[in-house]
Amino acid sequence: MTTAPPPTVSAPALPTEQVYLGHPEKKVTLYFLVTGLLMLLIGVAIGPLQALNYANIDVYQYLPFLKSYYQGLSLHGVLNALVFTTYFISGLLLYLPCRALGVRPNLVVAWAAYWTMTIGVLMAAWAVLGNNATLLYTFYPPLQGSPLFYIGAALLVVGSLIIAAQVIVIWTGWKRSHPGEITPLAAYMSVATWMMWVIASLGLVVEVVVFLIPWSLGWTKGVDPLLARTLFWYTGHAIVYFWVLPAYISWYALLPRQAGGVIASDSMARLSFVLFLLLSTPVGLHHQYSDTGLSIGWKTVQMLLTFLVVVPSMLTAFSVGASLELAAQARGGGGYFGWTRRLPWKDPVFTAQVLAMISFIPGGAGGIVNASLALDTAVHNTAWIPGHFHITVGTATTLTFFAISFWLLPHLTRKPLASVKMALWSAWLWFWGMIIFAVGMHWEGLIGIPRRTYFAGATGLSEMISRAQVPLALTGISGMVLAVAAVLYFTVIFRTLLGRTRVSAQAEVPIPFSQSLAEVEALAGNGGSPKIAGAVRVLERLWVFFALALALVMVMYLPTFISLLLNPHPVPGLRLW
Amino acid sequence: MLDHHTIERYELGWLVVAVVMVLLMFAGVIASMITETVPGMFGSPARYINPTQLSQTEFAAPGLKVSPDGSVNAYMVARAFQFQPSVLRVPANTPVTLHFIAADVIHGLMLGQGNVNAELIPGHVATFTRTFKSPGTFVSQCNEYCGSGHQTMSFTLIVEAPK
Ligand code: HEM
Ligand SMILES: [Cu+2]
Ligand SMILES: [Cu+2]
Repeated sequence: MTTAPPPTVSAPALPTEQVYLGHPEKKVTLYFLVTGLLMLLIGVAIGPLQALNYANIDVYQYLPFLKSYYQGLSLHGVLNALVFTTYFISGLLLYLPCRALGVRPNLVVAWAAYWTMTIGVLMAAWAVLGNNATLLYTFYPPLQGSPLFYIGAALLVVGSLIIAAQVIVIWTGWKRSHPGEITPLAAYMSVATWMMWVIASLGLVVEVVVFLIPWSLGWTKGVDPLLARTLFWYTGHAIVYFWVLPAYISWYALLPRQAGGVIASDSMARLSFVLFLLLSTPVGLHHQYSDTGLSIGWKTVQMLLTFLVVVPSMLTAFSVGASLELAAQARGGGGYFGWTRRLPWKDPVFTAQVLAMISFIPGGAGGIVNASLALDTAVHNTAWIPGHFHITVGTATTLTFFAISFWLLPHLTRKPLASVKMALWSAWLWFWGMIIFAVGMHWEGLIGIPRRTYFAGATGLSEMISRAQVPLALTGISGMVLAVAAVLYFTVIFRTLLGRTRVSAQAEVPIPFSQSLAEVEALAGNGGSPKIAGAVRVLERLWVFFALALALVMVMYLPTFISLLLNPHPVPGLRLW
Repeated sequence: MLDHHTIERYELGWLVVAVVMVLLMFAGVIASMITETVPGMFGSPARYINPTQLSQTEFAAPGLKVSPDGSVNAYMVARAFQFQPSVLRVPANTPVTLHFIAADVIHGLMLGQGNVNAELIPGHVATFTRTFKSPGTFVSQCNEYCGSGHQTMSFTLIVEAPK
């Protein structure tokens, strides 16, 4: 148990400078995390209104600051899925690997990344708030928004790529000065995630910089919507791994210690991240099964690769489950399932993460349905899809980030978590809210209710709505549960951040880097370090896997892109909102 | 407590289970595509028509057309914010080929039967040959966001029983 806030707070409030003195990178990390959470606050505030829309309760007519349901939905999707995640991940995956490697990052670079992102987000927010980019978070052309939106989106990604480059450079430097050593697990996984993102973000960068920005500025007359969609989904699928892998890092490398145990299998953890590096990107066509104009052959091949991502996901489930069982055994638990009772359920850091994992089980199962060419027709563009991604990014990722904020914000600021109880409540309510939400939305989807529809004005839904009364009510109710969960969560966070007491440096919440079982066994056996498995040495060569991933994605995408580029069908932009 | 070698052996077994599962799923989908339990996975030809020049094509007068040889084709144009025609009557138990095209921005449509769910990208003709079996009225609506009137873009498929 490393995460419960220290009981007594005797030390007087220390000036900020001293809190960051030992590790000045704490401050920039804090800025990334808190800015991300502020964006989430705004994005999440709109969610319950959308849920009410599904319950056929129209509150939009009373909201002077939102011109339409779709403007609200654009804000919700962009702020939650794109902005919150990118800030939070950039902060987390800068701080963790640096601390794991014991390297201090160049702060000028880190702050430059932060401000690049922030200027971008302000530009894009200006466009969306002015109703000049009501494009939803997929911004498919030929719907055309203000150039500010596209430039802002590009800067957001560029900011994250600066951090990616920084972490990768730090790691290569560390490798050079530590020849023959194996990268600590948390750093290894962070570097693999950033390498994946470098490859994955290319599609979005090209779409926005080469096509959408010049077009929105009026420099080019048209954009090929199919090419733009294909570039978008090249990044758009992999981005879900950019959201989920940081949660996996926490589950693999931090949670075991938070539960009082060890990492069950270090080498399998590395293997699963290498598989994610290879398989996250060359699969985006599974978002375009319904698009005419793309070859069924490539869709089928990418379907196989999508299914293969099941393998590292199942490995993660196994390893993390095993780690938790080891932890429970260390605390005296036993039996087939009885051990689960011995886990630290009173600790919100632990509980929120386990609930996040549980939500990911139906999330993954639903993902297999979406990935299947045969079944996708039944769910494509229906409410099933938001049902699916609210239990993946909206819970597995978001709830894990909540858990991380419960220990990392106290760690960075040395301010104790304001209320353990309220934190626990927020996690449970978020979990149940999202489960009810998902049941409702998946069910509606199977009835055929489309996503992204302003119900109050809808003309074609009455028959379907009459068959979907129960699930639609569930969506509405879940929105209310989630609203309460969000209020509790942000109350805890802001009370913590604005708190006045700080603990002394000795009482600082530690970073819960976990030991592996092999390390513990080696220490118990001969007091030395464990024998490094050959597989780990192979997996250590991340640059080789980076190159392989790049080659694989070329094979899977180049033929499609070449044929799209050879037969361009540009059409002019339209503003239809 | 298990030592790490044993755990890794179990995990390797689990990995094999996962790989086998993936291959079975893949085989299942391929089988459903080949046997056409999911119709029309193959052979829908890619066709592009410049959406500003629909007046020179069969989309100039959208609707149902029965050719002299008895084959039935239906042509539908999606534009903000309506489908033309917005009501389509087709005979039951007869193969009908549906042709959809979007004229301005991306639209989308799912039908109440026949396993049709299409992303209508401007100019790219989406073609489906289906035999509708159950007579009835199936109302659905545009399922790809296309602007402020998106929710008003409904489409009604009426499958008529033979007289
Ligand atoms: C209070 C919690 C939340 C509620 C009640 C909520 C509710 C909803 C609803 C009802 C929709 C569907 C709207 C539609 O298709 O018409 C939606 C869309 C969406 N939500 Fe949430 N949501 C919440 C939190 C989140 C979080 C935490 C994330 C991501 C981190 C997220 C990401 C999205 C995205 C990306 C969309 C799709 C937007 C689009 O279609 O363009 N939501 N949300
Ligand atoms: Cu995907
Ligand atoms: Cu529409």
